[in-house]
Amino acid sequence: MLNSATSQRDGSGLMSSHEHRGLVLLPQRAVWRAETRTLFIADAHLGKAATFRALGQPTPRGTTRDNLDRLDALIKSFHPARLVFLGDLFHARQAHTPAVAAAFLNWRRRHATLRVTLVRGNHDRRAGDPPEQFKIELVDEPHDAEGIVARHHPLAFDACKGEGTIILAGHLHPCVRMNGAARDSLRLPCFLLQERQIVLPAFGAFTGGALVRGRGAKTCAIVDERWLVANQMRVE
Amino acid sequence: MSDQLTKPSAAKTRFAQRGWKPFPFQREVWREMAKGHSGLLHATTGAGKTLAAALGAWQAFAVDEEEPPRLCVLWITPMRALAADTARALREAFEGLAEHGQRWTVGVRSGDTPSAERARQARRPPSVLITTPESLSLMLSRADAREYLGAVRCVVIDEWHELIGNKRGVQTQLALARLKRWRPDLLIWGMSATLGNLEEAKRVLLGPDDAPHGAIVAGGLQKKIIIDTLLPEDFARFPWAGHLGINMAPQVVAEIDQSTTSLVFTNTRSQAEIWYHNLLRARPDWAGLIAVHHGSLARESRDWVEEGLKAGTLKAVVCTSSLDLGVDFLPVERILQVGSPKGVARLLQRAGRSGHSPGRTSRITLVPSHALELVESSAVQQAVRQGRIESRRTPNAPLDVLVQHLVTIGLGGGFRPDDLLEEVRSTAAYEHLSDANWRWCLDFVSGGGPSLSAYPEYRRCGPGADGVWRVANKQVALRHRFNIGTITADASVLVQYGPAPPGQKLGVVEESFIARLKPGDSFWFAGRLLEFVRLRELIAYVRPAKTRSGAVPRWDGGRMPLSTTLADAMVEQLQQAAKGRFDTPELRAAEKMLRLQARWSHLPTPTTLLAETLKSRDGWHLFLYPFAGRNAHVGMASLIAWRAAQKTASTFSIAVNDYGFELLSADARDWAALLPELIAPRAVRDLTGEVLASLNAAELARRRFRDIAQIAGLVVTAYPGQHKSLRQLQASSSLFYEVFRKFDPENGLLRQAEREVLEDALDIARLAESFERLQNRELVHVALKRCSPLAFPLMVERMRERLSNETLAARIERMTSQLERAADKC
Repeated sequence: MLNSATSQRDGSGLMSSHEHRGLVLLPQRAVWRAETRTLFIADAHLGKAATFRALGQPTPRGTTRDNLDRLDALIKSFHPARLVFLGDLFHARQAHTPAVAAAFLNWRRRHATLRVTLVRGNHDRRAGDPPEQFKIELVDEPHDAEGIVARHHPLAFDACKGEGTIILAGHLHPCVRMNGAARDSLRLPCFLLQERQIVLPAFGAFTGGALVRGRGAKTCAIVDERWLVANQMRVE
Repeated sequence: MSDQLTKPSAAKTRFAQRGWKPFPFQREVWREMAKGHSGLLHATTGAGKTLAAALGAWQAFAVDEEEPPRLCVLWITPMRALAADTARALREAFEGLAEHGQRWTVGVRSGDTPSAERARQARRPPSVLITTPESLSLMLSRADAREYLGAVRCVVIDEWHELIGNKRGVQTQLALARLKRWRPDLLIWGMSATLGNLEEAKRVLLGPDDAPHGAIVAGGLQKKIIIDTLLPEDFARFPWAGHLGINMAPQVVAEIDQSTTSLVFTNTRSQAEIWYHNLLRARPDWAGLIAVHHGSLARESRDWVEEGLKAGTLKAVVCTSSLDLGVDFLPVERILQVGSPKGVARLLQRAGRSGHSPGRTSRITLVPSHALELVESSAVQQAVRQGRIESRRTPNAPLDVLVQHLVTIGLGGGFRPDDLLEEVRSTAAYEHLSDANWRWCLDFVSGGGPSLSAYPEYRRCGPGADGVWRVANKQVALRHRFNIGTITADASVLVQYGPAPPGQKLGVVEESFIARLKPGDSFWFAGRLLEFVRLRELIAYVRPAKTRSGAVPRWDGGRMPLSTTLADAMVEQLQQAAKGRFDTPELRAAEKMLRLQARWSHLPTPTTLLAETLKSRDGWHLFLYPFAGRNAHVGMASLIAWRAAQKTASTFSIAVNDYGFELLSADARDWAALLPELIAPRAVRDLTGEVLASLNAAELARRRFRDIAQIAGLVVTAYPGQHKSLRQLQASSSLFYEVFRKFDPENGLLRQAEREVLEDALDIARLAESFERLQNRELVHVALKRCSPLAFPLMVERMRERLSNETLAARIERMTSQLERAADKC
């Protein structure tokens, strides 16, 4: 299945999904692996707004709700057997407020049979492991998710050349700038495709992004929840 | 009891001892202060304003006691660097007076004051305390603020013209209102350079109610100023656009060579770095004799430069507005201004940095960086001859400053809302503050926002059982004191030699610049070529570079717009050219370019509105030249683009400069046919609706939100070496902007961002007036065959605003189809 990129294309040049090395990149900022019915999500940063509020910064409510609602929608359309968080599920120690915990627990109960794995990221280390009742399987990177290497920190470009297992990672919150006629310009969250490594865009509603740079990187940008463009521009 | 009759003669005696005679304006200030009147004193720099206010205060308030009084006078200066020199001048002034009466002590309190000195000041306050607006706010946040500052009888505000038009000035207005509440007979004296609206400057200083009783005193001495222009040697090859002006370097070198000490002003910090190393490249023998000075350099290197200027050991210093104000550098003989001075007042201020003492002549030489700046030079000289100087106005009721002030007062003893509202409304900035906005601010600091349940964990300040609002949380108090002020900055990274061993600290650059560098890359900073080693904990470690070239950091400072006064003068110069009159050396130098403009298109005049259209590879261009200054053009351009987008959804890219603006459309557009409708005037009410609608489509408010979020304490500025827990709070303000827009669209700070855009860039009243003015001019449309000299700088401008009412998908579709077309050609 390790063929090169194929995609379903409609007349507009925009696509609803994009297949890359046997995985489906979703505009909902997730990766779907059909053979094992696994969904991969990176950098949800749950409770980030709550952390800000706890430290005295006013931040609107609703971001955690929004994150969980979007997860619900994904689960509803794909019926996954397993969900793998590629790190930074919770933002900080202060993120574990009663409200965030209740919302997460409620979500977890609605999907009680789903196997949920968290590959610990840098934020998870500071936040501390989530409580047992969340029923999350905790692992360190690199984690072998049934033939996919699941990481939080991506490998350097040189380390993902050549044949081998596909690597999925997060951490970077990649974004790309697109330029068009009449000096139009847009900044969009994107997947970063580096040989056999795919870096996912941040899933969280309250996360920023960083413009990607790096040798040989190709990107696949998300236009909004529905569309995905795979123009595969080379970065640098 | 003090004897009011003998004291004025004491001040005169003080002058006589030194062989001086007081100027009439100094005696006038002394008289007014003795009568208990506040006022505004305006005079050129170096005219003796400091002595007028200092001796006046002493005469009014010194009593016949041995003990010096505690905190009788507050002396507010906009620049920390100025504080030490003011202290020296005041100590000298008071020294000789001790034999005639009371001995006065002088202290300095600013961000640079060591904590031991602060503690000493708290135990034993000096008679006169020199401080900055930020440090004054900090003092107001002390729990014992009233005991500490309640004794103040007189406040002197230096360089008031620098404060009146910005939020630091608003912060000062609020602090003055507080001090006046504690002591209704407080004397307030502002010292200012000449402004176009002195009455208004006095009204803002003293407050609308007290202003009618205040005096305006004019410093009589008119300083002699010489203004000239360094003309390019080869007019034909002088560029139509650009901002560096580096091609003028050989001539600038020659000018510097002829003078003892020169200041070379540039408009940006990057430009200062570039000019410095170009001058050094031309004259390697000047190493150690010339220096660079700007706001991002470490305090120590700036001090070194300033000391060198005072001592006369430096031949030239390349600087930015960092040396606009303040300390007298007596040896400075000559000012060179690279690029546009942007305003008449600013030019005069900079000119006054040379020949800095009564009776000497100031000389400023303009160094144009492109052909249109030659016309500007000619215009600014005309404006100075006619005495046309800009006005400055206070910002109108900025909520971010008010939110900060509420927490400050909540810390400083607390407040009852009704009392504080009355106090806040006594300032010119907030006299029209609405009840709704006031309630919103109270809600916001008490954890409210639009609905009281929005931020339950968050509560900065709130009412106690006694109805007095106070700050309860120590964390909040600490962080608030840390972030007080209205000067905003990007997250900054310290540049330091190292890492092993850690060496000299050179200054700060914006994080976004360092983020673009890879280890091993070279860049120019503090006049040195540095190699970036690595970034750790917001410190960029560097070592001397082995390469010979490098990048120059860009600091994201706002670009100052050309003043309306100067823009008007410029169009008058163009009209002269249109009549074929090239009377000044500058106009003659620009003649070739101006004649070309006239031949390919038209020259703008006060009675015409020039519109140029062009079809290029980039798309369909419209160029319009209202000559209303950069800010006003942003507003006009957004509105016109919005009108154009009403027929069919589209995306426009907008470029502005001080002379005009460009709208660029990717789709075919018959600009000529659309124009009359696009520039049609509207009733103010309809115009407001249009502007509000266009705001959502433009990127303007997002940028403005950055500053507002920081001042209101929404975004924490990153500091090198700050505590870890604060780092978790870092999020970019544009992220905040998005989150607020989606999850709390009624937030008052968002609305303020929009309102500030409305008032500054899209000032409705001014926009309505501008559109009205456009109507009175004859529309001259030219379909260009090739880019005209006026259009060229707009066409190559890379800083662009965008306005779009298309879906994201539609924009992407166009981008990708172009990529494919381009790919097909390969």
